[in-house]
Amino acid sequence: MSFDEYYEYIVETENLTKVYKLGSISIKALSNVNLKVKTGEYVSIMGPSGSGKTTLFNMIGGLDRPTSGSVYISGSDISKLDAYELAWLRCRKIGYIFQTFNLLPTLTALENVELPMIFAGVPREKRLSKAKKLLEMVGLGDRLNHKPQELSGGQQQRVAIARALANDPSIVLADEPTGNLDLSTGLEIINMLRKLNKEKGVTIVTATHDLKMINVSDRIVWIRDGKIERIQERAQLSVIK
Amino acid sequence: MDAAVGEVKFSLKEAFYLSLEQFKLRFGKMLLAMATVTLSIIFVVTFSVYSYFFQNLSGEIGLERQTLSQWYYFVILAMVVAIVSISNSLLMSVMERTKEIGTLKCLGALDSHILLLFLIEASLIGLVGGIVGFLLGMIASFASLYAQFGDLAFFIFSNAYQTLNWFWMAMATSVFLCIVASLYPARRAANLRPAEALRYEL
Repeated sequence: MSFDEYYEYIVETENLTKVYKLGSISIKALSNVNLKVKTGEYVSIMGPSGSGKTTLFNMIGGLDRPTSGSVYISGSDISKLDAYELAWLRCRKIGYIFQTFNLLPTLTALENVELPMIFAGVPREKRLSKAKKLLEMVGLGDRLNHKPQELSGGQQQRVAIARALANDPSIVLADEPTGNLDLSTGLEIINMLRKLNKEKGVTIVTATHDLKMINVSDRIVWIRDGKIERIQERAQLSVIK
Repeated sequence: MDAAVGEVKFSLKEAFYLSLEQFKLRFGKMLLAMATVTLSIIFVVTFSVYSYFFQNLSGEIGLERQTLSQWYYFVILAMVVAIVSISNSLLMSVMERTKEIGTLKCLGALDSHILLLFLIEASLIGLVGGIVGFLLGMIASFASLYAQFGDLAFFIFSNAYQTLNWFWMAMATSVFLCIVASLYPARRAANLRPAEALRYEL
């Protein structure tokens, strides 16, 4: 079993269920979710807040363990991985983008992009040149040595995108990537993600309730109360102007 | 599961750099904690200098050595205060940085890497506390001995090896105190679950 082999479905969930226990009551955040994401696809998971989007995001990203059911990344059941293997998976195979950007405030843009490559053991020279290239790609070639607080929200999110791509992951997971951005900056980020998806062939899975995302997605997964309500293919979608 | 995965790395150098940046950023917030370590190191240094002085010069000044025994009490008390205060500061630091720790784990950090970051940060506090505590301790003990015994006080500087010993002792004690104090906060940080850490809002 290897993560490098090509699989038609890069992410697969099988009867994925997550139950949170809050004192004596248990809340079913996800129940029997079966989802398949094709390699190279751009999938948006849409739903109101509290619908289980973020829980699904965490499960697919190996950040939380399911109560029952399985998540397969490139055909491997990630609930069977130990802590070390999970860390490796998060480092090499998955790139994360968050609503709140989550850059390290003490580090410059360049150092933030370098960080995942440090964990991947990339030598310093290679790391620097790659981080520079990625930041130039997202249009921040002149902001390499700025700290996050010296950058605007949109710029911070672009640094985060560069960081997510640092180790050439096969999947980029984005949790409400436009949630903290204004309309036009949000659109910029969405277009950038789409461009990456088209040009680099990275699979992108976003959890969002930003309707702007509909225009660029190959498929929309509507989720409500922890269940998949319906899945819409690109062809079924009318483009919102 | 075959050996499908590769390596996850985090060299001491990288960890040190990250901790140092964090230490610089939080320097102001850590001042109080550092002051308590400094204080206990001042006690430790003064205690040692006094013991040395009286042991060697008891004939000349005719003072009983036993009066020093109650110093132990102060030294230990100061150490306990220092440990509690540093522990508290680091716990605050862990809370404030919960999201950051979650992010690091997303990027591939292992629990042991997070542990390392906090241990290094604690050691840095220890180094600063040790240096400042040593200098202030030497000045304080010299000043008080000079006030009591005049020029005899210069005796404490007569042996460079002895002074160096005090310095190393001050540093070692200080770093040790800080590492002991950081064990609980660092473990807590390392054991944070990424999904919960990311959700955390201060």
